[in-house]
Amino acid sequence: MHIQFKKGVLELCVLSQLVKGDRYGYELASDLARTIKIADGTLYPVLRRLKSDGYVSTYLEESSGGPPRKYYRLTPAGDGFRRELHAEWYTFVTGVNRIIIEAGGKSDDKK
Amino acid sequence: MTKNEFMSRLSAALGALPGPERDDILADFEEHFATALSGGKPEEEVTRDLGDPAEIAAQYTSEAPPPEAEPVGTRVGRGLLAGMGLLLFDLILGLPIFATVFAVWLALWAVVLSLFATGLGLLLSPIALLWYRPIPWGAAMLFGLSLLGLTGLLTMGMYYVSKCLFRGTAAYIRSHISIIKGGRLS
Repeated sequence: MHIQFKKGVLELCVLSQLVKGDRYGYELASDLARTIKIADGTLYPVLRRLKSDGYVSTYLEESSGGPPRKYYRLTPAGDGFRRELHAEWYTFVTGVNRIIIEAGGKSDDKK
Repeated sequence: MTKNEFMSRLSAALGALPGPERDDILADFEEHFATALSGGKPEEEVTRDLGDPAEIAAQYTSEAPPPEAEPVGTRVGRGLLAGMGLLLFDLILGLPIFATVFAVWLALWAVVLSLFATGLGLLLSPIALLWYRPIPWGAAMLFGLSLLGLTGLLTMGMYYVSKCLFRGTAAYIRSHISIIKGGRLS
């Protein structure tokens, strides 16, 4: 997958995951890895970039029987960016879908 | 791969980053291991799911570093250089073109003015009749009047031409000033 494209998609995924509440890195990574089959480690650079851009903020919280966990929280700017990415993603996917459907192909087309 | 192996490979691959940033990144992965291992996931599996440490590190180091504030000296130097280049350009090409356009503009105004004078003169020609008889003064007055009307139209046209010319010149000068100041073309 194209690097820039993948970055954007992962950013959209992470920001969307944070809409319903703050999460910590491991949670985000294992959820993402399970649903879109990416390496867990891919997520941390994304989180760091989102933080340096001001789209998420972090804070530490004690966990029961373990080291403190770093939680990620969506900032208002992050939510704005998420909406933007969401709209872009939707336009993109709708366009691709239209092309695929016009081609009349099926995903299991064997000829 | 064991956790220690993973961490040392990641640390080595992050070598290009400043110390505190590297420590911060490594802490994220320490936390990841701690959480995964406390959940009962085998170490081998955790490192396998994380992916290649070199590839992860590349994602951090390929980030374009924030553009550092340009030292004022080079900005002034660049502005000066751009300014000198522009000056040369203006002298060789800009000035002759501007002078020509301005001269044409001035000449057009002169034409309008002389037409106005002629029209006015013809309109007032009956006064001349007192000294010089054989002029068909009715026709002369009519011609003078139509010339004045034409002058009115031409003046309106020239007004718009002048406005465009002045605006264009002002924009040209503004853009050059902004280049010399080191900014971008607006």
